[in-house]
Amino acid sequence: MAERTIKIDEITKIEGHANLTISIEDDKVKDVRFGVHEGSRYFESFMLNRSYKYLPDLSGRICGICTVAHEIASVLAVERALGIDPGREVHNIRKLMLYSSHLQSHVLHLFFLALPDYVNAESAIALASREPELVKKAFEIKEATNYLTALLGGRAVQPCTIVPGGHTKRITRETLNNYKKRMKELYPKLVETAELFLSLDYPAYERDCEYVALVAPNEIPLYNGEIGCTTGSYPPEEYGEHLVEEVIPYSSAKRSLFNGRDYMVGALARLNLNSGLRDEAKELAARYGYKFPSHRVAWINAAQALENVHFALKAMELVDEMSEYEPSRKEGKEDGEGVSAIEAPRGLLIHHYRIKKGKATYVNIITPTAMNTENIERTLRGYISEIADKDDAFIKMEAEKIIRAYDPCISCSVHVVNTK
Amino acid sequence: MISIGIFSLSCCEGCSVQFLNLEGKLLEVLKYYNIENFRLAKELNSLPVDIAFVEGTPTTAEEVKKLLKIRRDSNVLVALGTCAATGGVPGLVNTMSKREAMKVYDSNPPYMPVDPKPIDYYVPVEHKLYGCPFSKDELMELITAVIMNKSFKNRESSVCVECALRENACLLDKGELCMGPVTRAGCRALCPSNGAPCRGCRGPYEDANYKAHIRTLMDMGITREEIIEAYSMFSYEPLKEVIAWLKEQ
Repeated sequence: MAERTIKIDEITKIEGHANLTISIEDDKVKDVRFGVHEGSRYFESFMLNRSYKYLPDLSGRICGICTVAHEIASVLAVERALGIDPGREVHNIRKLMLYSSHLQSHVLHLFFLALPDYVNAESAIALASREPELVKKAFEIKEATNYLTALLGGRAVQPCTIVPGGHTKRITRETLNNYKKRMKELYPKLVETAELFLSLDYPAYERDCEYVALVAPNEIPLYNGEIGCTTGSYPPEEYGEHLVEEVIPYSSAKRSLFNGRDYMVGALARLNLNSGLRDEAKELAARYGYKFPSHRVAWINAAQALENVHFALKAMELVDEMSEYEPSRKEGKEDGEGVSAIEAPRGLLIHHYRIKKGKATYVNIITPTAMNTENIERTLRGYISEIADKDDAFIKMEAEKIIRAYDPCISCSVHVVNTK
Repeated sequence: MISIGIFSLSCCEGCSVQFLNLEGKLLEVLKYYNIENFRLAKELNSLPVDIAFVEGTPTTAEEVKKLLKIRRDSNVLVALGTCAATGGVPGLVNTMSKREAMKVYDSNPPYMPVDPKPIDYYVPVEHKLYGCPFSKDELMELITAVIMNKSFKNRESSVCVECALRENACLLDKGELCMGPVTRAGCRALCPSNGAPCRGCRGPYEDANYKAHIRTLMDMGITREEIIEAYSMFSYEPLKEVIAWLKEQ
């Protein structure tokens, strides 16, 4: 009996700390464990008894990449609980921020975390000596996406302007024109980025599973919509009836199932469930032979690249509809319960609060990575079964490509418990 | 070439992201520095390094060991961002009992976690870059100071000084609970300049006058409880005594 174990103690180029253990016996996979070993930070505990005003600020600190998504999910849950409608302009400002934050996150993931695997480089930084122009361009794109978020949110990481009932920053015509101008300059670069990432040679492995994302007709909704899967859709408040989490002993982010099935969230799930991709992006997909829905896991990368093109166009359209905004803050009730479901860059994000006398009495946050963990493991088990006769280095590389495609964000898995 | 490493303990990794956000400047920095260790962005990571930048705070015994190892294998240790410098937002869990905090995990975590503390609780730290996230300008100041062999000093004045320089209308005058008067400058009053009160993410500076700040807030009709909450948000660890004193008032 030939038995071997392949272990990666610390998976690099993902957000947060995770490890991978693959056990193979006689060229057959015995076990695959994607373990999360990030320390606990107890957000859902210390957010209790805090004033509702601080919940968005605190939520932002769950993750440094998808801060905007956490802040917006949090502010929406607070507003729904307290019956506050901040008004159309505020919703639109937040939508613009969500668009630019998806671009920020996708660009960071594509160029700095995923690309090195496909161009035989150890890192984007190392690539800089071989392909200085490409890396310079990647930084320029990143800078532009950061600029757009900071323009509306004060800063690119941990924006400070999102508050219950309003937006603290004055948005003038000039701000909006500036947003549009910068997005317009960025757009051709995002198309080039898509061309690059649509032409990479991704692992061919496919696996049927459930997909979950916000859905809406002729849209790829990020800010509102129903929670959809391949068989139907549900109002966000009903998440608890479909999405079940359970603790798994050896890791980690809890195991999460949707209607009893393992499921994927994120860019590929969004494109699999929604047909609203803009024609420009559709044309690109067709030109490079991409078709959705697809079960090809590594196409998450391609889906993100196509979304960049789509979101940039949507953002420019939205700016045209917007008018100037003078900061104000609407107040609401003191008690209530609210659920929000939005799309973070890595997929569906749910915040659920109960508030009493202005303070949180119940906090439940379910992050995309917590939802994806079970799916990642099953995909790895399936794919590695097909390549188990190959050498360790090859298996390692392929496993890492798959993990990085999911763009996991371990810091986000706030449920996380440590294990060995 | 000076070798550097960017290390991550428990945190949101926003400071690692902020490091990458140096963007074009990062390519300039690479003319003088070699990045030897950066798990978020590199496959191959090694020690020792000349300068270790550490974000986050240890929340497990493993992470404490990791921090000790980084200290042993570096000449200069920089606390990168508020979590490392003051314990930051994760420090909030120290305001509650372990039993309460554990309820999230059905009161059954695999092993006892470590209280989030500033990293200088465990090891000597040469420099601290405050802020959630840290300021890129201050990082560039520090990096330049090292190249030029000059000293780096944190600002020992309040956010109000920078806020006044930017000619912002005072948010305290508008009735907002602003932490500016007791918070360390260096962010160019970023939040007040965007209409939001300072949350105190850079922590207190040396000579902050808490009593005067608290009196002002109370005169505005803000309750003791609200002040305690605001003081705890980013700075529970450094302000523990002030908060304890406040509770007795």
